[in-house]
Amino acid sequence: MRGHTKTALGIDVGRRRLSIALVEKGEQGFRVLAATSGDLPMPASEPPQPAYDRVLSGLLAQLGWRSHVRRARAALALTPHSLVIQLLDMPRRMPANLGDFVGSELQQYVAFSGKTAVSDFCGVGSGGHKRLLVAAADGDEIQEVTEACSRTATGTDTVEPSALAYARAFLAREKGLLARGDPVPVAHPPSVHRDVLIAVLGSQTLTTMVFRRDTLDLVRVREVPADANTPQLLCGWLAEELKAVGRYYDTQVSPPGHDRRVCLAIHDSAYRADDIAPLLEVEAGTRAFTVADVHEPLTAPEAAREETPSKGVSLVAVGTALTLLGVEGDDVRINLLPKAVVEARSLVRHVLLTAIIGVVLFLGVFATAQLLTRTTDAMNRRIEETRLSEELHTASALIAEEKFLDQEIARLRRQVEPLRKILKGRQGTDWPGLLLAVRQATPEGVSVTQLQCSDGRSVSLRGLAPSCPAAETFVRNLETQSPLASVSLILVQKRQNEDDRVEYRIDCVLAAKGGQSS
Amino acid sequence: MADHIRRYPKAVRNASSAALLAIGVLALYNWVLAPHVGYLHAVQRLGPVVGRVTQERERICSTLEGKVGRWRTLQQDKAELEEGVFAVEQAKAFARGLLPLVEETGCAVLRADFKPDPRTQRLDEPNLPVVIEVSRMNLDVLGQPDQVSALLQRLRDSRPRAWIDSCQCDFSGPDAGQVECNLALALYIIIDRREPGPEVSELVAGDAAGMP
Repeated sequence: MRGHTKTALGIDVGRRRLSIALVEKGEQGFRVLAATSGDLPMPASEPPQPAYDRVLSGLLAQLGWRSHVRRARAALALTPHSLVIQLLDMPRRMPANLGDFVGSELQQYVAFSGKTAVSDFCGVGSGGHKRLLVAAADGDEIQEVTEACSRTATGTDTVEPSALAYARAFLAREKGLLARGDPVPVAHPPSVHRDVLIAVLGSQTLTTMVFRRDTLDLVRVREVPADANTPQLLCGWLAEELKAVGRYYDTQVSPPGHDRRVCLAIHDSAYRADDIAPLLEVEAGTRAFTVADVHEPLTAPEAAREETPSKGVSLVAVGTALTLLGVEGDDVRINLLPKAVVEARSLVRHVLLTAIIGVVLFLGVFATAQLLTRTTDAMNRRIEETRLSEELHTASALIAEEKFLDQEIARLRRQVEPLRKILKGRQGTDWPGLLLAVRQATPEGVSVTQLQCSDGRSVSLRGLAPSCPAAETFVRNLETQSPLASVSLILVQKRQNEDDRVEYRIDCVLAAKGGQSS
Repeated sequence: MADHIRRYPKAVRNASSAALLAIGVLALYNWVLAPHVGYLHAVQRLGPVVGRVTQERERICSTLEGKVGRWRTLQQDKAELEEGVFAVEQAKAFARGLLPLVEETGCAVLRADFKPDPRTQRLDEPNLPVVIEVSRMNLDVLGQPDQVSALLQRLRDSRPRAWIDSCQCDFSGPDAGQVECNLALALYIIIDRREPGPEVSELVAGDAAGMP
């Protein structure tokens, strides 16, 4: 299972060559994943303008098979024409603003008069030996290179002098933190914190640095004399410079014979290490120097002999990549990236972030609108289905009909109830039917002399009958008649005259509508 | 443009971007989301309304038939009840036509009293928009039983109906086979409450008395 790794791209921009290295920081330390370099063509124009972007694009294309090359952060190392690197002792009274203090110190240098200088500083050492490492360079030159890198879609995060980058890679290699490609045992034993003098020879400058117990103790930038135009003369000058530093240390810092390693790195020079090394030994009269090219393999020396310099790894590129990956104990952190570039990049990031947030918000709003639309549509569909299934389109007509019926019922009740109350008890007595019923029920010999109804509910019949049984027969006959509910013989009386007939009186109750007695 | 923007401090740029984004969010909300949210709220409110309308419709459907039946019954009752009451003009017409009606049936009018009671009975129901006045009249006729029966049948069939409060048939008249029938009639006359005027029974009696 692959652990958490971090990669960074280091770019070494020289006068003649441009090198890149992809370095990975893993659990087992640093590892150079890939590296390549290419010569910079020098156009005929004056002053010459190297085509950094074209060469860098070509080199990146060579590493293009690694998908994470483009995603990796990039650091740039270069040696500008006007470069100042200096160690400043901290003033006894700590200034309120270190930046102003450093700025005032740098104003003493005439190299930046009329130019846009960029500078940076960092603290080196610890405890009472805390000092400031200050670096300054021509901002226009650095901006030109960074813009060229930007044209290849390689945004550089830091820019530092090549010598500092080389020193970082050198020390990391000395500590055994650095390997190239697949894990291969490092040839050199780990450092035991001895003093190291590193001199980096550029095309026009010699930068000498002394590290005491892995802490930068001295830095010196000297321009190569114009008359040192042959290897012999150059080596003579180099020997004198290195001896001067050595003598200073022997007398001022550490006693003679103290273990000190001296390394001369050829970077961007017209001569190779193989040309310089024997001549330097002769000039210096000692073999205590190690002369190496910055383009060298990190693997075993026998493998290095098979590789051409263009295939080697630029330790400057590796060292500057290590800036981004973070090396334990490395306190040399100089970033000469021009403020304008930083601000422009910040602005671009700001605009991009704003645009991304805007797009995300727009997409969020769009998605929310879609969700709302779908939710509303679903609810609408359900409501429409309910309306169709329940025939809600008839609801208004039904409600109107019910309202009309309620009003009509109320109106009719208001009219009917009083009428009913007034006409209560009134029943349409079927008088013709009653008379017919009485006629049909009257037996032979019985006569009705009077029929009287005064209340609409009962009828009183008076008449004459030949005998009482005849009257009773009359009653029985009346009982069978439907208009009458009940029939009662009330009176039978013998007449006082000569007639033998009897008088009778029969009371009848009229049948109500429906057959019930009223 | 970039140089112009770069001149401003980072805080100003951040504030500007935040303000721009906030304005954008507000604009998007107002123009894109707010209509959808409003529509959704409306649909959410419409759902319960549809449910209530559905319930109301079911309730109406279940009760409508009964209400229609009640309405028809009331209409029928009203029609039946209205058969028992006269309008003023109808009452006048009935009074004018009563004696000819008796003669048409072959009966002889012995006596006709169109205002037997000097007091007028008025039925004033507060819920009724009209006042009902009861006009009474007594009618004594003489005729054959069939003729009297025909008279009673004509009175029964007449609409509006004249109510026979009492009926007394005397079969022991001087002429054998003749029936003397004494009828007490009552007419229920509707009078508009808004038209105060002379008592209708007097008008009815006056009309009947002026009959040729």
